This record gives sequence, C-alpha cells and structure tokens, in this order.
Amino acid sequence: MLLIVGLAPTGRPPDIVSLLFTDRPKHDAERGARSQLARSAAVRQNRPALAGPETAEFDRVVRLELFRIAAATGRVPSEVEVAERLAEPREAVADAIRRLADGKALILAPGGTSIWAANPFCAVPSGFRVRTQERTYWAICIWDALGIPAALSADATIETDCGDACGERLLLTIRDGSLADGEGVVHFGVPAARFWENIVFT
Amino acid sequence: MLLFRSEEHIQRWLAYRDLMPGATMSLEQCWRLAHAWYHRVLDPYWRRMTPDEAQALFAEIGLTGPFWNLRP
Repeated sequence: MLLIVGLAPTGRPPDIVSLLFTDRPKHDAERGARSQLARSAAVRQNRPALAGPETAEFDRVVRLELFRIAAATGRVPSEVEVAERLAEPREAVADAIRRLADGKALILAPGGTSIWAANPFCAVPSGFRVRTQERTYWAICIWDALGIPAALSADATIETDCGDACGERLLLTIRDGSLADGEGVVHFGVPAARFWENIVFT
Repeated sequence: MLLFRSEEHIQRWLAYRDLMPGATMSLEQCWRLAHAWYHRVLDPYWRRMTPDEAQALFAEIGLTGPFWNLRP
C-alpha cells in the first residue's frame, strides 16, 4: 500500500516522504521487476532499444519513480534524477519519458524534452498553488490543483486568482477528503473530445 | 480550466477576450472529477482511464451533453 491513511504508532501523522520512499513494494511482481531492472542496467547500456512487454514494464517503473519523487518533494524530477534513482541509463529513461508523453501520462514542455507536468504535478510555479502540511506544489489548472490532494490523500489549501484577472484571490480548502471551503465556478474552454489539442488553453 | 469568482466574472472574461463560452461546473463537481481522475495516480499499476470510463465518470458527475461527449 503506497499511501496509508491514519496515524503512525507514535500518534503522529505518517510523513509522506518516508511513506513514498521507504515503503517497499508489496507486489511480488513489482519487486521482481525492479530487481530485474537493476540487474539488467549494465546490459542495457549496450542494447539499442527495449521492445514489447519489457518496454511497457520499464515505462511503468519510470513513471512510478517520477511521480513518487514529485509527490514526495513537490518537484517534478528531471530524467537524470530518475535515471540515477533507478540505476538505469539516462537515454533509456529519456526514451521512456517520451513514450509516457506520447501516451499522455505526462506533458513535455512545448518544443522541448523536459517535463512540464506529471499531472497533477506541474514542474514550474504556476497560477495554481497547492499547500499541504508538508510542502507546496504547483498545478497547471484547477482540475489538477484539486487532483493533488486527491493523489496524496492529504488535506490542502489551494490558491489561485480569479480567471478574469480582477485581482481577487480565491482560496479552497480540502479536508478529510472533501471540499471543505471555497467558492467559485470552473470554466472549460474546449470540448472534452479536444482537451489534448491545446491542453494549455483547455 | 480556470476558476472564477462567479458566472458574472466568466462572462466578463469571455467578452474581454472575445471568446465563445465553453462549459462550466461547480467546484464540488470539479473536486469529484479530480478525485476520481487522480486518486490512484501514485499506484504502481495506475493506468489512464479509457474514453468509455471517462465518459461514464462525466455522466456520474452530471457532465452531460455535446460538450462532454468523448465519442466520435
């Protein structure tokens, strides 16, 4: 279980960093896959590309590590950091990130290869700031801003400006898995079938 | 997707930007959407929703009509 709701034996809420980084995978399949990936790192240095199910498994592990780092730190990692943590070649991780972007599991910066968002986590400060008890996160839109406390199973405060730039600050509170406080109306500019044609404007 | 103080602020923004209206939802609807969409994103075996699953979620939240139609 990745995220545990409740109190630690000490009576204090569990720290999400320790939960995300020290909790061993409970699935045998995942444990085995990660061991295999580590063992095969040196071999893969001389292999041009993965194929088929092995590619899918590698991409799954890269995605998981990337999102775990983002959740635990509030910072979307670079391909270099993910490669180092997995002891995998940087280029292999970069390829995985490109495939994950093609599959819309994350968004690359326009015209570049760096990650702009591992949704709901945004890699750069934005107009949607999400504060939990432990740290600050950024999101690219109100949907993702609300998605951060949902992903973390954490209480959070969301701050943004009214979309018409009237200068009014809007504050929302998520507490105990519910929208506890906040007012406003959400506007979607692009029909759902075309969300990904212009994800920035949507 | 932007958050506005009220419908009046949305109309003012659309007029100023000369944009066509899109669709609106309440904050509670957006929270339900975000929770369903992202609450498993840290699971080891997470996968994106299929279009059918997303369509069913929209309907469950009350997001219906042509704007929310994902099917060709």
